[in-house]
Amino acid sequence: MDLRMDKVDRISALPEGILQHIISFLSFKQAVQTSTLSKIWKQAWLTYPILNVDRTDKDPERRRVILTYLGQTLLKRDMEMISITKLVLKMELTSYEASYIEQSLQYAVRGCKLELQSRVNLPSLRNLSLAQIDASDQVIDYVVSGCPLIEFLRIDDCLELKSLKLFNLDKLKKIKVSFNEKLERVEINASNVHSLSITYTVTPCWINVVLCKNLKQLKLWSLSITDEWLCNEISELLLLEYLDVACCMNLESILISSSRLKTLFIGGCINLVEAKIEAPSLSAFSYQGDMISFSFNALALSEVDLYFYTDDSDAEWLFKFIEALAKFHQFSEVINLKIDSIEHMLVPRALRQTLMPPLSGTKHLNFRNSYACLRFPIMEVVDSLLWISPHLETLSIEIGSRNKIFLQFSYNNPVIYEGETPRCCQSRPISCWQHCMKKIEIEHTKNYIGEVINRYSFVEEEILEMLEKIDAALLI
Amino acid sequence: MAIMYALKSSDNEIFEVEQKVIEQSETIKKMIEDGAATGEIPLQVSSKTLAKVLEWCKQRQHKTVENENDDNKGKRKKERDEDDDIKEWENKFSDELKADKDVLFDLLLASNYLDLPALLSFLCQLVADMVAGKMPEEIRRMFNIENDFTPEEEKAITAEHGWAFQP
Repeated sequence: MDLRMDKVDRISALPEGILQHIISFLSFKQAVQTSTLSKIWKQAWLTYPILNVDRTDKDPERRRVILTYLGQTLLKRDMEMISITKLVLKMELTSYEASYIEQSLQYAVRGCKLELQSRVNLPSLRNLSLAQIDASDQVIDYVVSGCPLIEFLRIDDCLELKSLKLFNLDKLKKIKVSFNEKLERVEINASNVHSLSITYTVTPCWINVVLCKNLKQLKLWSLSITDEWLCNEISELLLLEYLDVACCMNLESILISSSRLKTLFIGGCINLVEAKIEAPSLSAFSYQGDMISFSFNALALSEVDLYFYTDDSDAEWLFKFIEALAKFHQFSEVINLKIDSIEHMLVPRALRQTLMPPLSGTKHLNFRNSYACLRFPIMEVVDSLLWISPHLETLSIEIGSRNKIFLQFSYNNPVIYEGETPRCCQSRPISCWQHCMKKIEIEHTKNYIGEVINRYSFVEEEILEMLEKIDAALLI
Repeated sequence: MAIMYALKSSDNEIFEVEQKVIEQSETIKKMIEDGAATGEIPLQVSSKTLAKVLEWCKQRQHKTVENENDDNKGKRKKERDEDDDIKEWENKFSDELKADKDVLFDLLLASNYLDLPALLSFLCQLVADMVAGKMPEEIRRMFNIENDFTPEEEKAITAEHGWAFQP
């Protein structure tokens, strides 16, 4: 044999991937040993994404040392942003032992294949997040059922998870389950859960949460839930205060009857045609999507957010729009209205003679135009919005994210027009704004930082003239 | 008639090999598919190493072909015998590599370059077996690994990893 070769360290010259491949065939203990050979080997171990703790020591001191080491290693990998792709733990841990690793498990077990031989006891763990874990229902069950004090549980992106059953976890307060593609069944009976979020499981999934009697907040996004399921489930959740339903494509007709519900969001359910809401405590309602028909019994409603898509708007859309707005007029003093482009909701003057202004009770209207430019003079926009909602106290118009115009109105008394009625006011219970406006204060802010570029204050005759000036300013 | 390919080693030796044998190498398979392999296929592997690689590939090819020709009858017995044969062959192959570590490392690099996952795994397992049960000092001596830690670093490492050296 060539003597020269005896002096050359050829093994350390191998690519790191090969060194790690070699490490993969070593026991955990021996693998750790190799990290003390030289700097190259230390580095190979530090970036090796698999931790296979194959030890099943009986000696408590030795177990403690190994687990402490594992805990530190997990933490270190997390800090160095080295994700662990596989974690194998063959020991059955006592509650005391589990405390060595539970904190680091929380952070480090991400994107990891988890193999556990038995239940892991993490008796004081309160916050558990399982993300991108490649683990069977059984393993997830081992982990979760070993955490009797758990308060917050999050299960994200666990692609092997098919059935999630959470029973007898009395301390559990908050649950988030999302992006679990293969999830077919969710059954939760945890009496103290107050917040539950199940999102992004597009495959048909059987869900039962009615036993969560103390549930206050529920978020359901991108699920294949049906009208009937939603209606039944909500009626059983007597303490529910907050409901957020979005992108559930199977929903066509939402019927919600809830005595405690305070906040309701409905958005992006593309097949929805109607929403019937019976919620005497409801104070905030938000809707985003195509035009649908609303039916409301919600006397406590004080803030309404509406964002209507206008992709296929036509004359009929405008009628539906006015009809929909009218459903809110008796409830809400503040309406936030968003639309992609103002042109869809400009009400032709001829129509204004025959229709009732839909939001005659509204005091504050905040209008947002998604597109950054208005295709119509601001005068037209104000005029149309003031027909929709006569005698507003304030009107805010946001155009894209750059321009915001805030208008504050004061009117001549009496507002109800008496005596000689101008033609434009004849068909109305209250006079049109042009005939009773006393004073307008306008603030125009531009740019993202909210710099005020102009303030105007003027009375009666100057109004039209001033609005024209703003139009000019918008173009800058 | 089996399709033959000519492989050219880095020291210009030509090896005539059946397509089925060399297609175990993902790298060569891809070269053939891409049409880059007309005439001789030049490889960055020495003739000594390439001969060893082909020895391995032929042995494995041999195994799969025989399996295909088996009838179900008596297959069990035959398989067992065959497994024994392969074990024996592998042991001999391993012993040669253990004796000449230079060939072992050339082969590791070649299996990586030629993308032969089975051979790569076999060799890594072999190195792991050589390392297993030995203390770092022994491993360093076996592979000429220089301990490049400073005394301070060494101290810190022992504190952190010391448990792994206890029996």
